[in-house]
Amino acid sequence: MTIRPLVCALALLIAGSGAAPVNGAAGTISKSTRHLAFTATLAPDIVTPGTKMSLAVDVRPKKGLHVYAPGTMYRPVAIAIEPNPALKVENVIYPPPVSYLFKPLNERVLVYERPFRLTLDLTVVGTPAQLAALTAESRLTVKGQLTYQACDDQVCFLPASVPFEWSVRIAR
Amino acid sequence: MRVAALVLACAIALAPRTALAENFRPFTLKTLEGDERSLTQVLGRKATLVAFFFPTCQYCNAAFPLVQKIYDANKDRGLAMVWINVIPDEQKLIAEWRTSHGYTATVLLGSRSVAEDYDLRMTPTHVLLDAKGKVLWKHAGYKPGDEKEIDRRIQQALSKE
Repeated sequence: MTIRPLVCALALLIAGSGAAPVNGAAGTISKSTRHLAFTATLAPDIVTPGTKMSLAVDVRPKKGLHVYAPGTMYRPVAIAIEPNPALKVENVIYPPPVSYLFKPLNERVLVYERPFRLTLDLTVVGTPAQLAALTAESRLTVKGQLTYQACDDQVCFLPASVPFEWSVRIAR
Repeated sequence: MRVAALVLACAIALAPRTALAENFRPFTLKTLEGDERSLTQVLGRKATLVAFFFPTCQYCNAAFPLVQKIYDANKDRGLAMVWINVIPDEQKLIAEWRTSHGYTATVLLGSRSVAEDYDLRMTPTHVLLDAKGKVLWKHAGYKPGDEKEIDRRIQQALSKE
């Protein structure tokens, strides 16, 4: 009975803490900000050169908020993967957005206001020299960010980016 | 009791900081032309309206034509207006954006820390200053009709001796 408010307070603090990087093995990362929650899944967690990894990010905008889709002048939600010579990164695949009427400007914009999924393929690449240098302990770090700008029916919040990171084992 | 105190502390920690600083945090920022402007250089004779924005902020684009009109109607009475960009990678958009909309406010280029420096969470955020740079009023966001409150606050500031 007495612990519940404490848990609530702790949960609030965690939810409000925003964008601290998350380290961890390949798998699923869940994060929440003031504007949205998302779950990012990278698979598989053991790779070899040539392996195609798939990153899926399930984004859930919070009630009343939307984020922009590509195709407008505004800042679209995006996945940015840090450049890594061992990774070939494909383009993000977006689901169909919805048209939102921005009444103050009588302007229609493309947005996501309901849960949606972004996907991205990454291929592990390596030179013969890099392959020869692999050991049983070799790992590949995949770092990236979910970037977005969220708005509601009164304000646009400042653009935000939420970092994520995986460490993937490389099998010889 | 301890739990209540903790929850209260949590609520305070998470609540937006609405208390206004006595004085607006001083700055020295560059204009689009590359000149530097300090806070004291941009203060109006009676009042200054500072707006934090970035060019692709939808609500800024809804508010600013009306705010520009308010400025035009009051600039000869001692009102100054300064717009501070908060997204550095949108600086390249500002010159054309300003020209195409006919805006005449002084635009200053904020650094990456400007949002933190001024405790900004959303745009536009308007801050009305008196002649000495003291914060008179602060308003975050924009909905149709807010321009009337902005104008009312400006008239109050301009009517003070």
